[in-house]
Amino acid sequence: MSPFEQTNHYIRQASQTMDLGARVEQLLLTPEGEHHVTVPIERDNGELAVFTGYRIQHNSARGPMKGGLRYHPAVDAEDVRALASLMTWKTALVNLPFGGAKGGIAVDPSLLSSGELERLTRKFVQRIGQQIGPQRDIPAPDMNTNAQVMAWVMDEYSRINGFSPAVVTGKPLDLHGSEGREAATGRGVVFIAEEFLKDSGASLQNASVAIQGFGNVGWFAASIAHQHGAKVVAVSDVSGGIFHAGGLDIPALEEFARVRRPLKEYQADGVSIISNEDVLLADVDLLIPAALGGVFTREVAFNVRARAIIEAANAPTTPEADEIFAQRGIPVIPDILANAGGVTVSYFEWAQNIQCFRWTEEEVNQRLKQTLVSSYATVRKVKKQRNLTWRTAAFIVALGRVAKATVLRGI
Amino acid sequence: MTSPIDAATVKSFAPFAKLTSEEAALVAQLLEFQTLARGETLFHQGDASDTIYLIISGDMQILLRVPDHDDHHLVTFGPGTIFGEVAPLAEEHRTATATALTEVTLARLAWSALEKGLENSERWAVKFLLHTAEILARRLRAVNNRFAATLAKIDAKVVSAPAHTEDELDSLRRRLLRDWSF
Repeated sequence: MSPFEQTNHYIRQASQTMDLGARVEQLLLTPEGEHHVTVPIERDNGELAVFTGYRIQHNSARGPMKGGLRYHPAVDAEDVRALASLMTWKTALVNLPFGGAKGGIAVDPSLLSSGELERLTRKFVQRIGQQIGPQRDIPAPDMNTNAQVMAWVMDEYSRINGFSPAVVTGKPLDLHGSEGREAATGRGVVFIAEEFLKDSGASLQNASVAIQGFGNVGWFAASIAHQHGAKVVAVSDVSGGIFHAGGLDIPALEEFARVRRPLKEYQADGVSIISNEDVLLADVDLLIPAALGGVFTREVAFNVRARAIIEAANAPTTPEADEIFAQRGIPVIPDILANAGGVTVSYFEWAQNIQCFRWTEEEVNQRLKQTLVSSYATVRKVKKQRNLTWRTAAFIVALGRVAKATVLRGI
Repeated sequence: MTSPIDAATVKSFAPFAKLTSEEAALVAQLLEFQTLARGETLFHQGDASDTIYLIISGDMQILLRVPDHDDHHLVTFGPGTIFGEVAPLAEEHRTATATALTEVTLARLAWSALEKGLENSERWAVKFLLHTAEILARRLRAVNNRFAATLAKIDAKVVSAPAHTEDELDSLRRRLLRDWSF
């Protein structure tokens, strides 16, 4: 099942529960527009290089579309389409006044110089300049794009349209970025985990946690969970994983990872090296997949020993695994809820830009918590009322909001 | 085709019932008779008009031509009825088409003869004109009643229409807002 089909599978499930009907379901699944562009640049050596770029705009019923821009050799329309639709549901679920979109360029940015990357970004913005805008479609960083790339997007767009910081989020703090943006997704994961544990009368204090993926999201999730008293027993990156039954020394690990060394080289008392997959099989209170999609296959799902799963990564659970988790009674807090912290603070950044105003980090974090706690409560209410899985309940809330906006506006 | 007719016969026709015998005798000289075969058209909508007709026997059908539509059957007139008075009164062409539904015998009165009678203040002409006015007034009242009934029917249709066809989106909108508020 492709990622697009996987997302649509969950949406269809929700749509059938809500009895939206085939026509409205089809309308809500299909992207509003797809922009495929050719992005040529002159390489530093004078050669011409031509790349393919995409901006797929899935749904704007609830507001301007929002979604990341990724640079990766595997980027294709199918992939971007799935991610665009996921953004529609995510923004709706946390009740942001946004629709969903996603974009990308099929390129391996590690093969480009900084100058080439800048030219590529600017050319791409020229190509899709008519399709984006503060009230139309607002890109953000994603895989292999960062605050610097967003700064170039803002600058190129502003050259044509006048100063427009709100055209893109995830900008550098010194260029109308928001406090708290970098840690937002990881922080959101921890807020959701905290709410979930509270439900069963527990707390993060001394809860055991395993995190697969030590990139931006996994890193901040580990760090903030640790600050909240959680015992992070296993983490992994692409090189492999490390495990300590009594809890890893997170501040020391942060120091270690800051210089970008592979985790398997980390050495400390009581720390054992385990495989990346072993992290998924750790006997913990909370398992947080924060790396790639599709890591929970059917086989893995049978062997998971965690009490609950919080999906920090996008689409880590295949639909077959999802059913197995449901049968085994392992709750899975779905990606669209668990990792919505990033887009939420993106919204705060946009809102600050629109108002020409700045919030403090405390203010941002507090509003982030408010937004996620209330979204969690909404999903929980629907789940309990109708006896559904977390994922189905979350998709119902998301789909319901988009469907209502659509029918209220009129087709 | 002309055939002599006596005053008593003239008085037996409703439009002339109130004439004295002397007046009826005058009219008898003015009337001409005509017969129509079944299905024969006497005049067409839009024809020039200079004659009023009185049906002696048989039925006449009056049809109104409606653009892009079948002819509308306005009315069927029977014996004793005068027709064809509207156009000359209004100095217009024929406003409808008159066709014989059966074999029909008509008495024709030239409009010019009536005008002359009126100019000379002849009693029969005034009485005939009054009768015609009365007939027109009755027909107008009938048309008004029918118009009011048609309006009521249209109103009833407008009000009841949505009950029959519930819009798919409308029903979804209502259902979503009712059952899926979060």
